[in-house]
Amino acid sequence: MTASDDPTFVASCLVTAVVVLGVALAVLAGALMSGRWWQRWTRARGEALLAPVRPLLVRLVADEDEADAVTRDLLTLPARVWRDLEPVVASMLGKLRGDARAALVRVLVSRHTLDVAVRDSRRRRASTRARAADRLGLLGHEAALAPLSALLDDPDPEVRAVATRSLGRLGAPAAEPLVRALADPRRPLPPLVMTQALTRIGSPARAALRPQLHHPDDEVRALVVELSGLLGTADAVDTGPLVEALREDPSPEVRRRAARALGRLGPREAVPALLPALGVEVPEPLRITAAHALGQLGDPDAVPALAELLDDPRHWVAHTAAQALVDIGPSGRDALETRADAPVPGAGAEHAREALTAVRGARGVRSPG
Amino acid sequence: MATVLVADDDPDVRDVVVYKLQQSGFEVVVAVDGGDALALARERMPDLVVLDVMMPRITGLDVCRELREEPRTAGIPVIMLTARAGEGDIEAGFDWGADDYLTKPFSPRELVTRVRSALGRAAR
Repeated sequence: MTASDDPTFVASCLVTAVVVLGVALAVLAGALMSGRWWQRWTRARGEALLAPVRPLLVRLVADEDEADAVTRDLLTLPARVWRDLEPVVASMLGKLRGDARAALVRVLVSRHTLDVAVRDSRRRRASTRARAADRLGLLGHEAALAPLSALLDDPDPEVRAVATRSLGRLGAPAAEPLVRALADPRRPLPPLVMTQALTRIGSPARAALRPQLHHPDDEVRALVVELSGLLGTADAVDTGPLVEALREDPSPEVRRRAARALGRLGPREAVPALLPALGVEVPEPLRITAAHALGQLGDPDAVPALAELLDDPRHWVAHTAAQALVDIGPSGRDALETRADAPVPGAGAEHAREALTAVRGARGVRSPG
Repeated sequence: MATVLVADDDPDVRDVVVYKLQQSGFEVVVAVDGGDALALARERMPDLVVLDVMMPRITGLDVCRELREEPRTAGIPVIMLTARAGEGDIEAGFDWGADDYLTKPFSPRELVTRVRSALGRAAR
């Protein structure tokens, strides 16, 4: 008879297992309760510590007459109180602007928050550098420009993303370093964050982008063209370099993106540059984008060239031309009807009928009865 | 002395707005969420309401709409004070009956100017 056959032995094993499990559960529950208690205690202690000084903070940002006196009081707070108050001050930075924000920045700079963030931006841990980049952006101080620009070359992509966003908060002085980083393909930056940062900067960012339209790297030029289309205006200062890129850039992808950007920005002056991009010798993606852009521009001068494309052997070229003729308006729709009713059969008539049917359907939906 | 109802669930923003308005000579009533704001507006009939949009229980937009639907409160000027700064958000604010729209980050001084201006328009 083996031990496992002995009912007494099996029963004692079960009892031991239940006891061990019970003890483990009790320890776990105790640890959870202690953790919660500790959190509550820490929060209550922090709030108790901050309660007398929070009104100072409110007076600092809401009472210009008392700002200097309150600043002096905040600068003499003991270090342990300031340690708890600093995150509250930093969080208020993002909620206020004008004199109120400037008062907060003055206190934070005087209490060395800027110096600490600059120092942390060079730490080993990526999370520390990312936090420092965020803090530097929130402070929006001119001294944050150099450390944030350096972080655009950080080996960690998250840190680069935070630095990009923070530089957007610094405004015009950050345009050049951001665009320089954009033109350096070794350290890619997230396009969406870059677009948001440059959009926030506005006109100085558009000006900084222009010289990069001649960057030797095709991918960089393509990205710069794309951003110029997103940030630009219909003004000739913005559209002129894009028209030049559409006409002369050696990369078909850059020319395609220039066509798309021009369609988005909407200058009528772009029509003469877009028409040659419809030619049969041009790569198909560029022809399609150019046809679409001409529809967006809505200039009747483009109707004859687009009508010719209805019979193009490339299906999507002809299809896009038909849609563009619809977008142009009455003269475009006249051209579609002429082709649809022509005695010459072919795919062109089909494309024209399809586009007209879609227009009539949409009208029916918009105005039933 | 004009009474202003301030409704915002963020204590930092609420404290600053309340202090600034009191310092500028207004009597201030405070609400910490949308439900509170509606109840206090009905009870106290303030001269103006400063409303955050994203609040627990009832959003600022809903509070604004309800105030407009009740004949007693329909004429109270409402200023939205919110982090929602998109064109669509601002349009929605005015569509739902707001008289003015101020986006965060905000300037406390500008808020007081807008409050005085809205009260002046309401008095005419």
